[in-house]
Amino acid sequence: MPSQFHNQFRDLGFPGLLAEFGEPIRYFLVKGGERSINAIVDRSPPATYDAAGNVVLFEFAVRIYNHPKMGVLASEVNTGGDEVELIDELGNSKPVRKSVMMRLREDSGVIELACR
Amino acid sequence: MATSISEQISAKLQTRLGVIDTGSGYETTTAGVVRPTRLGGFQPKDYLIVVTQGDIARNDELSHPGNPPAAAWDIPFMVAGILRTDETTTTASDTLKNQFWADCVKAINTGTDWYQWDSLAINSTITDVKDFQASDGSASGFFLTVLVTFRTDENNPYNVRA
Repeated sequence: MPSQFHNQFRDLGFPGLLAEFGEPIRYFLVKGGERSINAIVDRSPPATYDAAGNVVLFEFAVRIYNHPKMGVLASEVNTGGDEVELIDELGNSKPVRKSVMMRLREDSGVIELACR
Repeated sequence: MATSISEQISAKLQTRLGVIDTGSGYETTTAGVVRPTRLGGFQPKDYLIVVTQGDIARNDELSHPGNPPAAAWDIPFMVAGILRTDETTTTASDTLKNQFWADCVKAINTGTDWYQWDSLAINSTITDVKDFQASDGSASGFFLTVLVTFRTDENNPYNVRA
């Protein structure tokens, strides 16, 4: 059961962060369809570690809104084929496609995805 | 520009693997065959094949004298089959692997003299098929090793020798 804080962050906090730090990306669902949404893209994410202590390497951490229109629902995310299209390096104008490799976390209306 | 024998063999390996398609008598369809750049440079996809190579070792037993002498070399090519299956699939992961690696072997073994790579090599062996599971769970698959032995002029690895 989400706390009051989580609900408020979902409804007010993250949309505000998206408006401030978000950038347009396109999300392609493996089940079909695509969505133009805003996301917060971290282009140099630090290496994270899995439960076994192995370094997990990915190129981008992408935070999207857990929302059926302004983002993607957590239940829709499929790490077996979903893709995002984004600018890989600031200054480039042509977006590139990347695979959604894994979910890093889901919380308070935010889904953080590791992409490569 | 001349192309070294090892590079020519690698190109032929990619070409053979690239034909894996259900429309061509295979049980699976590859998403493509790639060779990584220094930074990777490829997008991991379901049924993607990644070809890399290992250390090239001199094979003294199969080298022979001459003018110039013929040097035999062993080069292992690693063929990685990547599976990133839809989360909703109910097919066992190992079932998918079994079909995919079998198709890779079938494709590599195309032709009666498949192991000679159009007269570029003297022998080839598929030595092992190792299973892998990415530590983060984002992919699984197999590594298949193709050990190719070829001869060149000792002083010119661009020139194939019998």
